[in-house]
Amino acid sequence: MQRHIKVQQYLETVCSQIRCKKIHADIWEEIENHIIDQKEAYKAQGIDEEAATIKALEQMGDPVIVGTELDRTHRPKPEWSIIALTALLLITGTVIRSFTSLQELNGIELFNKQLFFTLVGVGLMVLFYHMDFTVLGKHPKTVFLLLAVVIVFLIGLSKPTLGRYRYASYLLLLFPTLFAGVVYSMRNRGYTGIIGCGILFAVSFIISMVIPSTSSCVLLTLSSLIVLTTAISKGWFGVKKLYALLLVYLPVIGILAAIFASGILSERIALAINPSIDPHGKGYTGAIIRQLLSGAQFIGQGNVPEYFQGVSSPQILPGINSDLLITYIIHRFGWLVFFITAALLILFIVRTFMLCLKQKSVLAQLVSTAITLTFAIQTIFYISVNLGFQLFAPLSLPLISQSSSYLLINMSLVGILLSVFKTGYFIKDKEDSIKTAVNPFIKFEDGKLIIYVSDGQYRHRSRHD
Amino acid sequence: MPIDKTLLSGSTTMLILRLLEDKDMYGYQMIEELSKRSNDTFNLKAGTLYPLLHSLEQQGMVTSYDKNADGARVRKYYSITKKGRKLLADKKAEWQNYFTAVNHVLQGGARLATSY
Repeated sequence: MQRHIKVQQYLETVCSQIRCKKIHADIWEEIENHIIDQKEAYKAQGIDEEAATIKALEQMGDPVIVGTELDRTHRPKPEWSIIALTALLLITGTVIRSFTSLQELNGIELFNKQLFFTLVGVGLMVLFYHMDFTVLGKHPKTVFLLLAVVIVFLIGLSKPTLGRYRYASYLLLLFPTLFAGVVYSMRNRGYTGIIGCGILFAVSFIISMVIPSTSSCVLLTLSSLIVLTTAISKGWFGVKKLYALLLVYLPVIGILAAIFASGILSERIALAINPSIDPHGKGYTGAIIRQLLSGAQFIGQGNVPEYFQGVSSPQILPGINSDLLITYIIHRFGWLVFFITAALLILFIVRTFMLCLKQKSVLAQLVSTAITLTFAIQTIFYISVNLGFQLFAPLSLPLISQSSSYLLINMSLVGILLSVFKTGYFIKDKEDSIKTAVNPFIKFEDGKLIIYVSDGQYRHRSRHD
Repeated sequence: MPIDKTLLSGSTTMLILRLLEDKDMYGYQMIEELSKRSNDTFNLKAGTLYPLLHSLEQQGMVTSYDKNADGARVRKYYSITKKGRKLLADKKAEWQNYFTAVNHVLQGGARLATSY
């Protein structure tokens, strides 16, 4: 049906008042529907098409006023709670490091470097905040593979330090966020879509094994699994949820069983639970951490075991600014400082998680969930190591511990998160006209597994159905 | 009978939420239903309704979803939330208070008039 010129003008006037362009299509459709309904009602009363249209528009009200009102409602709002918590965490980190850095030889230098990168990080955060995060849903595979190429390139260029490609390892933390975009783009793609997600995840998994970084590997696996499970539970792939979950979790359980069978993990867990079984070897750091913590006070300097008397803290604890910052501050300043820091981090994570749940669009929800998980898992790994439970090596304590590279990555993620919370409300998930699985090559029907050999065959079938 | 606008605007939120308490509706349907239930007293303009609905949605009082209504067109339906039901209860109580107070004054005035 041809749109009446006056209706077109009316809708254009309404939308021209609304600054947030992302919502235009949505509002346009809703108001146009309303005009059509109103017009049809007038026509049913015996009024002709032209007069009914004019009358319907009159009934709508002044388009400028309507547009202005809607503009007021749909103005993008920055999420101040997250901005404030980010600032508090950065300040807390800086204050803590201003004390701890004095203990290390090149501490002041490192402190100044971190301060400089904090400012760069704020710049990155602002940059990503203003960028349109929906690009993650529009070109997910390109962005994902681009990151993979960059990391592989860095591995090829750099030399490993202590058997690890450090510079390449930092970028791994971006994978879960990009994976969320990949999952989003697989809407209604059926089991093929899930397998596609699996293949791309495998790419990131293999890269993290090459680096090698077990912690990043676990972080990637956990967050990708949760993102994928969230999508499946929303019926995102257009297939039976139970089968989809089986398709994802059977291989995972298989791999986990193989790892357990190999005995590597059980040895690690035993050592993490009780480091004193090997106090001079693999359990060395864990054992020292526990000794220092057992002598810690609630406020103030803790006791040092006798045989460490006269030895400086950095000599007892390597990495008091980076990997073992929390252990050190508990020992040096008492548990209270730890509780305050941990409370801030928990508040940040819980708040972002609550905002994730509020997101209406699936893209916004998946991306923000992936970022929240990236922060949460980093925090859990870091704090558990610092409390003497050394299962996975710490990556960083987000926004607090010393590491310019992790800081830049985490600040970029905060920027994306803020961009999601600012505009996520307006994003409408791309409506796919095809509700059933698009050209699946695997299908379950009446308990039978059907594999279609070619796309053409399926299309042919469906046309005759 | 058309009614003074200012009296209506304050209570529009309450009326809309009351309609949604019964069933999910789309915008046009709400205006029609409101007009029908009030014997054509309330003739709400679409230009007032949509900004109101959208801000109620942002406050979490209602949620919306798209539904294919009559084949070709996809309509946006609104549904009241738990938070919305609570707001409705509050608004109703507020309205009852106001209504009772006005009545007392009016009746009181009437009694005075007859006692002379």
